Amino acid sequence: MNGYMGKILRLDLTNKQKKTISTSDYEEFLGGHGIGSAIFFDAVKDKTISPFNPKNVITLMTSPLSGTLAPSAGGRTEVQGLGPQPYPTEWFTRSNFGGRFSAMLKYAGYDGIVIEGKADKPTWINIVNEDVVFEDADGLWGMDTYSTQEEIWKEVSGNPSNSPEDREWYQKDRGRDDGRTTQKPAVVAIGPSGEKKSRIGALIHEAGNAAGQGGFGGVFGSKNLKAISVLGTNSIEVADPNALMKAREWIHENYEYDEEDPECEHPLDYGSFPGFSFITDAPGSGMGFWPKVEPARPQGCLSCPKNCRMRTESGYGSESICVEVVMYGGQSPKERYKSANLAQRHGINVYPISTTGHKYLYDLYKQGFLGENGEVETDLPFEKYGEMEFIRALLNKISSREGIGDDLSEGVVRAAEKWGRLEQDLSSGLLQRPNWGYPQHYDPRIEVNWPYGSILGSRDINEHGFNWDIHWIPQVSTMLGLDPVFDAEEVVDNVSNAVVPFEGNKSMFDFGEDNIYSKDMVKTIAWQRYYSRSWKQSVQYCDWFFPNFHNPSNSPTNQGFTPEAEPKFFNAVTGRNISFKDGMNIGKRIWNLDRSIWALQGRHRDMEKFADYVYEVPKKAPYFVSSKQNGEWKWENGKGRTLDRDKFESWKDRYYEFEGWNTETGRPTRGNLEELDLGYVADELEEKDKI
Amino acid sequence: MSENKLLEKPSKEKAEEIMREVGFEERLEAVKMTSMTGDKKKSIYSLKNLVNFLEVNKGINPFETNKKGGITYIDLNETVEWIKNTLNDKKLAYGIQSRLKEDESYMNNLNSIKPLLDQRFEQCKEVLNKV
Ligand code: SF4
Repeated sequence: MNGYMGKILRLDLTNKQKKTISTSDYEEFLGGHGIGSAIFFDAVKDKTISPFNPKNVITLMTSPLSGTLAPSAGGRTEVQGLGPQPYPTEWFTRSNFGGRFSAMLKYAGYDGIVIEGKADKPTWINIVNEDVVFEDADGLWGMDTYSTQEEIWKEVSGNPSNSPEDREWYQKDRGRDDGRTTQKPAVVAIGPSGEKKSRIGALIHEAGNAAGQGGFGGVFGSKNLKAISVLGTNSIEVADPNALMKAREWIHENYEYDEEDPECEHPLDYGSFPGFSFITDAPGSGMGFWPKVEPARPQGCLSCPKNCRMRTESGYGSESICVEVVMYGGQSPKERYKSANLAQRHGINVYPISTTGHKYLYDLYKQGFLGENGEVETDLPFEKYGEMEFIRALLNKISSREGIGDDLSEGVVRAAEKWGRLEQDLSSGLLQRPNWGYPQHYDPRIEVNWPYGSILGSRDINEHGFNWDIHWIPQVSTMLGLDPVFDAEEVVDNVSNAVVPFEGNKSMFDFGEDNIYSKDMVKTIAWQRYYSRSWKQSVQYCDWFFPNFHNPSNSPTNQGFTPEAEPKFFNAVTGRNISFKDGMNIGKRIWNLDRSIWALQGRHRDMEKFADYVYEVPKKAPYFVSSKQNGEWKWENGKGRTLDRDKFESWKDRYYEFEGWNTETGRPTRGNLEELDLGYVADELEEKDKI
Repeated sequence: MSENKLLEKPSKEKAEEIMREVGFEERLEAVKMTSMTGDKKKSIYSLKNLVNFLEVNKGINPFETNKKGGITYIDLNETVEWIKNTLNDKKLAYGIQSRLKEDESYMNNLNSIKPLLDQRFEQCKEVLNKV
């Protein structure tokens, strides 16, 4: 089992017991998400329980590539279980965080951790290779996520400070060859928000790695689990180290930024507007405009060549990337980054309280609905909105569940429901939460691969693979008033070349008003679901790097590295010989397994509907996507569009048919599950009358 | 109106009116587009909000955010109307209107009106003795 450590740690918090599961029992599901779903399916007999029920099982899974040189897959951890965040049903869901936790877990000898039960008092788990101890977390309870990690580092390493003269070999009673290390343990922790079972509680690892979506911080809190620390000193067997090195060189030479010219933002020569760093992989691309403010240097997850984050001189916003850096958007960069740090210290999932969250609260205040004399009374300092004082107060209240924070700790959508506002605000679009209560990401009326994938799943998909090419890059250039940097037909050619097994189908990327309800769009969504479930969430290639369709570093064709790279690294590490298409078939199997779990939770096609504003309120701003008009590929402006309710319902029929699901219910069928070698899953569905 | 010509300073009363925060129904809707978060609606309640929203980084054009950042979008015609009718600053509205060109890109139009918005904001602050 090259690439795998061979065992998965199963921890029962109720009885303080530890067991191991053999990874080979689940290897057919690749790793990460696939193994997590399969274990969850087996371990949780009643899938309709609350996420806060001690019987809920949370998995933290690595990939066979974790801890290796495989680009962007070396340090990511997949987290799954019943999540309290999705609305209105608390679906079985997922999240993922970067850093080095998964690598350290592998070095400690494990492919994943399965957590069940509930500790009778605050507990943290201390894993040092084969030693696994349930530790007392009384002293850590109430601490923020950064302080918690610092305390655990001290506890495990035994050194009182980080100054070089005090630095010790952490396992000093061992010899150099059997476990001495200067590495600090990798810790994932919850903050006060998770302790209070917030539905927007996050898991935080180091400064800026968060498993935010799903509310798993709250689930840890419900289990009295404050943190998991891992220190490992083993190595990972790589089947063909030479092939792995060569593959890494291949990707670097052909598809990455030029280290002689790391600022490269080619091909757009317009000041320093970004956008292209997402495909040329210029380091530090995830930190927005911070380098204008103070010195910073690139930082990344273990072994990732992209290094999309930064460490800053002041420490503000260090390692943060993605939505947290625009959490308090519109404010000064310093305040923005301070806010990101603050939310991460509290262990609060930034996305649902960022722009669409606090903006909504301020709009309600302006309506006189919230405030000292509002229908819902609160002393939140709205007069300081835009300043640190407001966001600090908001985060404190959420984290402590004080006053209005008690409602908001349940998430803005559930708070709006409690206040009697939800229906009207989803209908007008004042609250932009199109699916399962998650904030709107890319526009659900136009770039439909995003919302379709989300509503068929359990959360906002947050998968940028198609998005960079078919929307974001043309969007930027068009708004800048430049000629499109890339020709729409060239991009669509490159994307469609790569989408094995549907390669060559260009209509899959026609986002014109009619084609978004077509059979081609069925294939677009199916491809993305299978790819994500296998290569992205099980093998765990990072979303910011994979898939790669159109890459200007690879001139003259600009063809990206998908579908060649995905199996190349996987096979070099594991010694298996699977093709890209094999991976997609496994992805389809995992997708159907997840779909079955949702069916067992009661999922029905009637639930798969967007918030009303998606159907009723036209898109107000320009929004460019690839589309074929009168025989020519163009970047079409989707401004003014809404989604057609009836046509979307018909599209669902087509999608369910394509998958072999029941079009009346949207649920998998015995036939389709047996075809995927999931007959045992069909048995359980039948037993529970859900097939 | 020439590029560099300042608008006449407003009176204290006028500056107060221009700088006030308007009500919910009078807000201007804007959109922040970023690569990580996609499109997000923003509510603009005052000239200060508008200037800050469009000002991604002082001294540079609103798009030029070094490594990433985003696009701050407002409907320019709607903005003129909002300034004219809601903030009741007809001079600023006229100044902006005269700089907008139908066949120009959004960015070029925004670049041409941003200095005027900044000037008006600074003038009002000065008149109201605000730092
Ligand atoms: S691209 Fe960024 S977030 Fe993804 S693995 Fe690399 S450093 Fe981590």
